[in-house]
Amino acid sequence: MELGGLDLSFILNKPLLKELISVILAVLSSVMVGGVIFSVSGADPLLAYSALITGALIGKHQIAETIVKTTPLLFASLGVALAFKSGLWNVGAEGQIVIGSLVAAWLGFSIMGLPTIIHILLTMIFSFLGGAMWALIPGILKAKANINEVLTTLMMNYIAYWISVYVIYWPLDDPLSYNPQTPHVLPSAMLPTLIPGTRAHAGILLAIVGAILLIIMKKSIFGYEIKVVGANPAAAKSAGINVPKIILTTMVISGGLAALGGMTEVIGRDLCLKLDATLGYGYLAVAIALVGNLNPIGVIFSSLFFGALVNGADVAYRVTRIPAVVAQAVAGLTMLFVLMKGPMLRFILKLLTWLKIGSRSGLS
Amino acid sequence: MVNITKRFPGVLANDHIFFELKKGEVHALLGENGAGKTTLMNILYGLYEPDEGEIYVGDKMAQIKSPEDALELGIGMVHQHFMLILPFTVAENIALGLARSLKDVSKEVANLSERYGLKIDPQARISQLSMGERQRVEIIKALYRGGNVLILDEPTSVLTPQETKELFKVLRSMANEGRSVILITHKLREVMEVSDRVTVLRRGRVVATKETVHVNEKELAKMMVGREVRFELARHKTKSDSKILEVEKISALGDDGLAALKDVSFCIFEGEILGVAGISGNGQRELAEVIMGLRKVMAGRILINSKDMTNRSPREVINEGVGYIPENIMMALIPDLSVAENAIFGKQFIAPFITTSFLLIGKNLFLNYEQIDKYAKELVSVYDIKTTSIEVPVSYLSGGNMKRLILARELSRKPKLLIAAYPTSGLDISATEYVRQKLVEQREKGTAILLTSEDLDEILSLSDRIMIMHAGDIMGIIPTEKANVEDIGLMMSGIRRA
Repeated sequence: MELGGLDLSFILNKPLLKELISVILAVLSSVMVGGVIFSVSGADPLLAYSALITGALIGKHQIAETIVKTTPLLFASLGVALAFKSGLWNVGAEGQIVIGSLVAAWLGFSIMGLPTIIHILLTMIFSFLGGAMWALIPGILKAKANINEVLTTLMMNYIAYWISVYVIYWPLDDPLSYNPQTPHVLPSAMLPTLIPGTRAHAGILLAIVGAILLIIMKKSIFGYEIKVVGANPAAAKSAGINVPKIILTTMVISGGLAALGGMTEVIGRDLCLKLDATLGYGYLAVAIALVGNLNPIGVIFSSLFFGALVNGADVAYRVTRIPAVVAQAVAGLTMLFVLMKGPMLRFILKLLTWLKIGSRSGLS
Repeated sequence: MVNITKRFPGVLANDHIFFELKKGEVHALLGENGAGKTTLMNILYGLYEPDEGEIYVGDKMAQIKSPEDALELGIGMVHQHFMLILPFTVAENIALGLARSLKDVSKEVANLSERYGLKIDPQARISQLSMGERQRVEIIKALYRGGNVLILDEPTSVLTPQETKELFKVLRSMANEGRSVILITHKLREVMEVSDRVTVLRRGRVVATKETVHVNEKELAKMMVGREVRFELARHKTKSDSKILEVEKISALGDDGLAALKDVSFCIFEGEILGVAGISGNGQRELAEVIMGLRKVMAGRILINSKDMTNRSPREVINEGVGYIPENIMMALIPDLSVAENAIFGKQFIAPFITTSFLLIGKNLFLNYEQIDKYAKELVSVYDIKTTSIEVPVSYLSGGNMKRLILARELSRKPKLLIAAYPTSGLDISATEYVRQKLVEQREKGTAILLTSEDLDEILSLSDRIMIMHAGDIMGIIPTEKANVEDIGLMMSGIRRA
């Protein structure tokens, strides 16, 4: 290996570059290990990946579907990233999404005679509030009684899920459909289509607005205080920060954002709430938030990556007969590698330095 | 120890060190923090392996790869942080890991403690013992395991002056019996008081090894720092009659739910330094936290600028013009945030760092990063903080520079009251000098300062009045002119009141 006498250790002193390189390394590693999984499952990994890429990105419909898949993931992972940034391990996006989709489905078909803008806005506000309230419960338990939010948010997911099953089968069941789903939302509640002739809807724009708001928020006192609380809650107190207030506010915004992801699935994609429509999104959002380094811009890109992965996996399945869950396995791997990224980068740099010394002594 | 060299990433901790210990001597190892004293002794005790160099015990070269090897050679060490199991008794702690009956151990512990005047009850539980008594247990533990050589790492930092005296008596009697003692310290007075010889380390190198009788404190200080050191600070009378802080009969609980402050009353005047003397853990931290609004007051009142600030939020206290240098710097800095962001830690809601936004007109919800950067640059240059830029995370700074940043931030806001808890702990001599200088300057600008320190000399040289705390109680408040170390020591150990 020839490095041309380049000393790579400077990477460790550039925070942004270090993050970028280590995330890319993590993603590459997971793709490689994923390839091994493909091979073991009896498929040609190159074929599988090329099918995946084609299926996700080549062609108008493919891109549109990737956008559709990305939208709820982006909303949810923005929420997760915000909570993680403040040191709250909110793994409840799954349930918060479900609550958002329930509220959207109900308001979407039940309120008649509203102008489109008003109807959509109203649905947005109440979906947000629904998810916010859902996240507020673990938030209060954390802020007032210091009960571990990982457990409470996780348990809230099960409660939300079974509530949705109940609601879809009974009070809001669509009498005209044989499938378990709610009645279709009214045209006035539907998000406009983004790319004509496809399912891509304006939800993605809303999600990007959400990301921009979070970026602006970083420059606020609140954004600063979130960072401080996330890094060291005990120290935050001595900086005059009202820690319980920060915890509650963060949970509200985090849950609200995730809920909007559920809403877009209802008033953007399916136009009704189907059983299991958002299954697994909330957990995927945790991976996305971590890969995006909890940074709104990073999260936009990692959402796109995972949106494409999930969408492409369906196509790869049709070509290679490898179940789409393999994509989930790759997602899981990515999360593992991202969590290991720091030590991994240091190891690789060490390896490169060692190889360099090795090649030199080999020459002399 | 011959030619000992030890490297850590980025630091040469020990650079070809030669160190010799004679039988029956007390040998002081003197140096500033980071001079490499503890590293050298950890090598001798087998906790680190040297990169280069050899260790000889007697005439034989010794391979010390672990503390077990060291103990086998008769080398014992008492660490700065005690390694005792709190719920166990003294005898149980000493017997730990040895295949001997508790009865035998108890008997021998009683023997040893009598022989050296190390008063201790083998049946007492560690959790009931004072810091001084715990140290005795550690010493007996080391002796029991066959210590011909005893290493003590900064042993006096947890002791009252009286306890220190007793310890030194014990060390002398051990030396007279032919055992050897290595005393790691940065306090010059201790070197003069107890040692036969002294080896001075600076930046990982030996400056000199001298017979203690042939040197004086000034020479030692010069060897240790590498230049002349001023001990005296110029001070002018600045005290006025207006009270900045009044604490009236406050009581508060500690983290363990037990009373940590009992009916504490005192006041600080404008332009006055009130030094708090006491062994750490006697309510000093709780006192600072109560004033800052970080700990609940159960009874009593706190007035700042004659305003009742009892149980107000930290934000309200900060807004009243109170600066805070906590004993743990991690309570005053966030390592992952940049120098600039840390420069406004605890000031993030104060003008000029805040600004309105285009979204919410008229409300100061946003940070003015232009002002913050300007301010951070100013702090870095005025207070001479060594950093490559104000954008790098604070964790890239050295400990001394972190402390400087905290000091800069708290002083630059012109506080009316400054709570300074152990502001010089962990700093080298020149940084310590700098911090003390700044505190005196601030006093002259009229700030009232509550200064906690474990260094009695520091308190004596900086304070206008000295308040002595013991077990959450105030044993007395005396003007510095009338203070003497003996009395303060007795009050620190709760034996006497002023």
